[in-house]
Parts: sequence; structure tokens; C-alpha cells
Amino acid sequence: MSTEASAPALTAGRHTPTRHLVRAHGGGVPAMFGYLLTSTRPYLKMAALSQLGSPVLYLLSLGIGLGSLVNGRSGGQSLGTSYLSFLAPALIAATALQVAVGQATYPILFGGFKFQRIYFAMNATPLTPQQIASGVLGWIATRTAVSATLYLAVVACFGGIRSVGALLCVPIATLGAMALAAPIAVYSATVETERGGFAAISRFLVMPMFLFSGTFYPVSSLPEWGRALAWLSPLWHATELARWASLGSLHLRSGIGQVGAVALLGHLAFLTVLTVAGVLLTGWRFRVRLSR
Amino acid sequence: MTSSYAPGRSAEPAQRTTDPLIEAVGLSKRFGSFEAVKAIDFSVARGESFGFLGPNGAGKSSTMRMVGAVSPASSGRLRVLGLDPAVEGPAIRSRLGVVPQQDNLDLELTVWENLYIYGRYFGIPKRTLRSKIEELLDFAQLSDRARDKVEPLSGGMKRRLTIARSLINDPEILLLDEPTTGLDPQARHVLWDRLYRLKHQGVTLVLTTHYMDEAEQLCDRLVVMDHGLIVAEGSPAQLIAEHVSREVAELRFGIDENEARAAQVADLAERVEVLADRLLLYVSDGEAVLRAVQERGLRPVSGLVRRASLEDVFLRLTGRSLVD
Repeated sequence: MSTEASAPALTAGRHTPTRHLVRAHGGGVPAMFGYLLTSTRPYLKMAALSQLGSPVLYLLSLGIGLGSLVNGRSGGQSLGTSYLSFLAPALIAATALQVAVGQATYPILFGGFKFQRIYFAMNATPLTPQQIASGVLGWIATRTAVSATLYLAVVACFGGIRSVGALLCVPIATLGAMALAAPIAVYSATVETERGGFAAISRFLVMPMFLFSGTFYPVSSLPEWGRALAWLSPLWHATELARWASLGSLHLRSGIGQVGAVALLGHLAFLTVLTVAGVLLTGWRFRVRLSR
Repeated sequence: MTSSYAPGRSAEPAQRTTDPLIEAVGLSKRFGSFEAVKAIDFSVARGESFGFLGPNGAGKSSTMRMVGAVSPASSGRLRVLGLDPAVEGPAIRSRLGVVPQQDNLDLELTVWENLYIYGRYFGIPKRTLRSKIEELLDFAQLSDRARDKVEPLSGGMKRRLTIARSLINDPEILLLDEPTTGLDPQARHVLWDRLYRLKHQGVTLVLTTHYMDEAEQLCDRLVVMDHGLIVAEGSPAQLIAEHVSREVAELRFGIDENEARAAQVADLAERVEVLADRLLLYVSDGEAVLRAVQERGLRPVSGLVRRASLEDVFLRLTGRSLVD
């Protein structure tokens, strides 16, 4: 079958032919990243400011302020390291989680499916729902990793890094964040009408996780039920791993940062399973919603 | 209005093939127990302007989404560009241009960025895109708004941008789902002018509409859809000739009286439709009928004669108006 013959023509005037350049499988995920990067550009200054400002405030008030109280009393003794170095890996993981969850809620439902409907525009091109979902989640992971890196840099400026292993906080925090953000993306891609679900996620899921996942004190200080709950929290697993990466090599007498091989695998497995399940289910929900 | 986006016909004479660009046999779409499209058959030839005319909920958009290779058919056979949308969706979509019913531009990006990003989804190289975008902006009469954000643009401008966007890949088929719904008359005419150009450049247009004037302006051939079924098919002129008379006399007697007067004038027309606000008399000579009505001593508040339109065809076929 001739395709070029009656093409809106490739010869006359200033016509720039593009038909022969179109790829049957499109620009794929890289083209989506190009879009997401462009759409973030107007907010770049603001985003950078808040992503550097927030750690400065947290580290000043908690790491230094509360830290001087903790370090000065028996707390410093029992931790075996400065409160700042104890707190920082956990704060990196917690902030990463908040960034990722924020990106996995309103932007997906409102920008993607409901109001601007940009995913429908993408789906009218060779991009597949699976590629769109992968692009969106890949982008969330990338932004989360950038935030975690910035956070780590601020921590370094405050003198809160005690080993090279702290660099691992970035991938660990990103994995921990996606373990919650990817399942939430499934929800965002499924709900038809937002009736306060996102606010509830932030208030009743993210906030309690932040408070009870061993960010500010070891979960061993919690009663039995608290420890059981922490076990369900992706943030606790990420926090344990981040502390292991940052402080494990110091062999602190307090045992902080010490994670056995089995526990290590357990933490990683828990986070990986949640992330993979979230990614697969998000792809499925995107396909269902875009192909109605 | 001038435009330097002037693809014109290719130097080679168009090689007409007998293979239709789009072919549907027994095509159906079900959502749960609701059947939006009920085993319809149609085909569209290369270079043709083909329309789906029907009221809201007739199944037009569902059909368009199946043809657009985004929504799988529930049953039946569909081939677009000779390919099966169920297995070769991306390959089909790479050769289509789609103007959806609701604009889905990125409002926070600029006009230029919207086109650029979209071109990248097709994998078109950056350098080619730059000159392509310039031409498309010119074609859509948006060159001076290139660096503006989309959000504050008027509805007509957004629509033109959506159409420009759909042309980024030199599509072989352009799918337009209610291209001018919600636009003011002037914006509609500007848009029709642009679409008319594309049609003359040989782009195959497939559009849905519930406006008869739009169908008459743009479609070589159309099907009338109602409740998920195709109830008639032909060129606008054929449909009018086949289903209604040449002229229509419209009489208004006042809301309460229309019904009662219908019986008194029924013998003057081939057929009478009683609407809430007027009577429609389908006749070959409208003026003669108006005189006859006067001679019977009937005094309508107003009486006018017009040519029969697709609206009348639709009324005849479905018993309902298109736009309610």
C-alpha cells in the first residue's frame, strides 16, 4: 500500500517533512523525561530553594537545637554518636518519602487523568500506557534521588556525615520512598474523584510514619505495638538501612547502625517487593484508565 | 488569510488503492452491560473526509477512540492503515493525528513547548522539529504567541494549537472529535478554513460532530449515528435527497396551538413534524404551501421557508433533534 503518494506532501513550499522520521515506537520513556524536565523548569528555583531550605531548618532545629540537649545528657552516651549524625540518615529517608508521595498524588490524578489530561495526549502518540506509567514513576524516583542528594550535601555542610557509606543513603532513601509512592500511584491512577484521599494519605500515613519509624529515636524505645507497627512502615526499613550505611562501619557500642545480614536482606526485600508491586500495578491501572 | 504551511499535493499523482484506510466490520464497544457502539460497519478511503454525525451519547467518540488505537474493540473487526489496533497500536498511532474532544494541552507550558514535547513523543529529531514547529505555528496563526503560556489563550486558539499539534507527524489520517464544539461562530469559521486547507492538501479527515453545518462544510461522506447504530450513510446532499424533501416550511402558531394546527395542514405536505415551538412541513415548494396555509384562513405567528438540512434528516431518522 502506498503511504507517500497522497501524503500531505513532502515537496511544496516550506514544508518540513516529518513522516519518514517518526518512529513506529515513538520517543519512549526518554521523550517523557524530556517533557517532565521541561514542565519542571519553571519551578526549578522554587523547588531547589525548598529542597535546600527544609533540611537547613530541620538540621538547625533538631540536629543542633534538640541535639545539644540530647548530646549533653545521657543521650549522647547511649547513642554513641552525635544526635545529628543519628538523625540525618533518617531525615534523608523521611524527606525523600514526602517528596515522592507528593509527586505520586495530585500530579497524577489532576494533571495526568482529570483536568489537563496530559496522559491522554501522550497515549494518542506511539507511547503506550506502560511507557507513560514507567516514565512517570521513573521521573518521581529521579526527583526523589535529586532531593536526597541535596539533603545529603546539606548534612555534610553541618558536619553530620561520619563515613563514606553515607552516600548510600541516596539510593536507599529513593527505594524506601518508591516503596510507598508506587503503591500510592496505583491509588491515584484509580480514583475517579478526589474526596480528601490525598490529604488523608498525608495526615494518616506519611505523618505518623515520620513520627513512629525511628526517625527521632530508636524504635526500641517504643512499646511492643509500636515496634510491630514500625515493621509495616517502609520508612522504618529505609531508616534502618540508611543508618546502617552511614554508621554501620563505625561499630558503635550502642549497636546503632548494626544490621545483621538476614535483617539487611529482609529490609531490602520488603522495600523491593512493595516497589515492584507498585510499579506493575501502576502500569496496569494506567492501561485500564487510558484505554476506556 | 495566508499561510506558508503549504504541503500541496505531492508531485507524484496520488496512487489510488482500493484498500480503505479504515475498515470496520461489526465493530462494537461495550462498557460493562452498556453497549456504546453496536456492531457498526463503515470504511474510509484515502483522501476522503468522513464524518460521524449524531447527538451526544450516540457512540461517536467511542468509535473514534477505537479507530485511534487507544480503546480496544469489544468485538468485530477493525483495520486502520491495514493494521490491527489490538496488536499494532503504537505503529498505527505513529501515523495518526488526533484532536480529542477535550483539549489536553499542557496549560503550564508555552505554545512552542507543547508542540516540541509532542513531536518528541513520536521520536522526531529535535532539529527537524524546530522548523516544523515554525510552519505549524504559522498554519495555526499562532506564531506571535509561540512563547506564551497556553493557559490564557482563547478557546479558539487552544483548539488551533491542538490541531497544529496533531499535524506534527504528517499524519495520514486526522481524527477530529467535535473539533468546534464550544467555540464562538468566528472561531469556528477560522477553524473550518484551516481544516478545509488540510482536506485540499489530501489529508484524510475523520470527524465527529453534532453540527449539521459542520458536517455539510467538511464531509464528503458521512454516517448518521444514533444509540450506537449507524442509521444512514451518504454524502450530505444524498442524505437530504433520500430522506427528506427539498424544502421545509416552518410555521409557528404558538406553543399551545402547534399540535392542534398540525392536522389542519397535514394534507399540504409530504410529512409534518410537530416540535414544541413550531411545525415543520416537508414540501417541494415552500412558498406555495405558505400561500395555501393563508388561504385556509390560518394565521401563524410566523412562517418561513428554508432548504432541507441534515438536521431534518436526523429528525426524520431518529425522531429527535441533534442538539437538545
